[in-house]
Amino acid sequence: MKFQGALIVGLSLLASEASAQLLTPVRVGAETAVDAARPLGKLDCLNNSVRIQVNYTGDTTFNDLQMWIGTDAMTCATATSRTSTTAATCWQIETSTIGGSRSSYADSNFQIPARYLIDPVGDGDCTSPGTLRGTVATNYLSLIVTTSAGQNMVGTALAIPYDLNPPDVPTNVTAVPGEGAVTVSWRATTTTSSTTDDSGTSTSTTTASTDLAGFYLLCTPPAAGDADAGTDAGTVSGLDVPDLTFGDDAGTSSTCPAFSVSDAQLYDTAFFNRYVRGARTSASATSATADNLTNGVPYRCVVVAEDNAGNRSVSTSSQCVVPLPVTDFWERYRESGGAAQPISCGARPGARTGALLACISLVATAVALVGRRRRKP
Amino acid sequence: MRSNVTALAATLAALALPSLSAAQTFELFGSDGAASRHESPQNFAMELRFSPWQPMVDSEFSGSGGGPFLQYFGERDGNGVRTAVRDRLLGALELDWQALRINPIGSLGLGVSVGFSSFTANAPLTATPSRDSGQESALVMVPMSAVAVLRLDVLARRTVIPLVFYGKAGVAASYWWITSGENLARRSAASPSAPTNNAGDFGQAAAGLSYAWQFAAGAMLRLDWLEPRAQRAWDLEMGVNHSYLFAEYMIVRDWERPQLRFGSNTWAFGVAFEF
Repeated sequence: MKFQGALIVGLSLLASEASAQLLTPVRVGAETAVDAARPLGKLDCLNNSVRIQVNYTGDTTFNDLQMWIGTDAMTCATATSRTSTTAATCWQIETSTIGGSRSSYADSNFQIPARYLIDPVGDGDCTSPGTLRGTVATNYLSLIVTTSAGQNMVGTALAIPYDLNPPDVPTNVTAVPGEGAVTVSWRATTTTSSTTDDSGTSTSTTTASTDLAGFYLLCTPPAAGDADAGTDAGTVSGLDVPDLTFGDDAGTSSTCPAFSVSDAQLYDTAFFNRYVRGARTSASATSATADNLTNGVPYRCVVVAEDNAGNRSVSTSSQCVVPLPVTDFWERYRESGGAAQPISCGARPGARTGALLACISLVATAVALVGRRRRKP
Repeated sequence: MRSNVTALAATLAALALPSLSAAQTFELFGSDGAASRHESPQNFAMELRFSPWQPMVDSEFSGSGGGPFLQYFGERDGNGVRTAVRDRLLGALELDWQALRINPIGSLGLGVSVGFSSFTANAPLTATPSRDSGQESALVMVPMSAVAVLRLDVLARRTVIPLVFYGKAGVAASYWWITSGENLARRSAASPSAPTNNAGDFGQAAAGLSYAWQFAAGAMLRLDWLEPRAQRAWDLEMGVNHSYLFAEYMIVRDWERPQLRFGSNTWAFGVAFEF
């Protein structure tokens, strides 16, 4: 048994020496919330860095590690391809743009701005790939090391898939007021495809979008506490309360804040965080509620769709709505003379013994049902 | 005091359930001669129940135009007038301990159940009640009961008629709460004024407990005859002696006390298993 163990260790060492300087880059996430598995999107391209970890074996001496991005896995393997011209298919990522230490293989976590992985031509607007090679494609990150034999690609190129196509724009956006809240509804985003058969008859098919992560609600004026809160809100005077919407009554439309969001603002983190209300909904959601709003203040909202790569598209704005007090069923019941008084399962002053016992009985029943074991004869 | 006693009884009954798992069925008037020698012991029944449900909340109120329940949850006609509340589904689970076998006519036992139902509507704007807001308000109910159950299964056990008749009587309680948007509703000084004890519940979450008497009668169709072998195998592997479809008429009568009324007269349908 000891002999077997020694043999395995010895073979492992031999294998390690044989594969010295074999480097393999691995995408292990980004500085700012980029899941290592999903394609990079426009939000990443404009804002995020991707963290690359180089797995290596053998010698830890660092020999001028370079990173190149190519259009397929082997493009950067040949020296003649590594030209970095606009007509090339392999570009070097400038050393100065790579974050992290490159002093030795032992310290091999690098941060690379996502735009250099997606848009290596380097204009930084994340649109060039659209004319260069399409908005949905895969680039490959190769590692080039200088050795005594010259510059060579080592290890396996890392696939960097990207998708810069925005999701379909949410349509039919409407808003209704609540108490300190606005509920916004929209039509589920769909993709329409059309086919024409041999007879020339065209058939249009509408299907739900599959590349969709969810929706955000952005409303103006921004949340209280923001430096600009309220400054772009319209005046409340002149509100026609029974109709609740601006724009459908003469003389009131000018009091409502306008709200249009540009494509650049969609990816401007500061702007987005300032106006966003609540967390992202599910992909299947068709409505969301912005709450903690101020009653009597007019609001206008837009719906932002986000796909799985982080690309965004924005709807036109909703009509203007004014949150106002509502009457919930409890208030209506008590207003009508209902005699029931509230109690609680919580052991707080005023909670009646009977209610507490009943609450305990409910819990005990559940526990008993779960814990019961059927005894077989 | 009466509510405390009832609640205490329910608590004790629930706490006793774990020990019931080891309990046997006591037999009256000799042993059960109709039971097969290969049949596993039968001590319990379980029902998965579904009912159209509409609590009689408005029975607390008099006068024309209906009470707040109708005015809040009712369906609007073409003129915007709320005419009737649509029934909602009440789903429930009941577990019976068939404590006493009364040979040859049937069994007498104790059953406990818990269910769930809710009513949701868009809250109207306070300033213009004829107009709904985008915010929802819901009345959520969790009816529970503890009942005595008499099942007459002599026909199914002794003849070819696969029917079991039964009756139930006992107490019911419903834990309820009311939501406003995503939160529990609470009244405040800004709420519409209540004619009695106006400020008494300011700030308290709208949740409570109501009590009622419960009676029911129904019939069960034993399904064993459809696939006798499958039923026998199920008994051998899982200990399930019989399976049923059932229909039941249920009467829930609210106690005369200040409470949100949840009583209702309704049908219940479902599947049941004896094991």
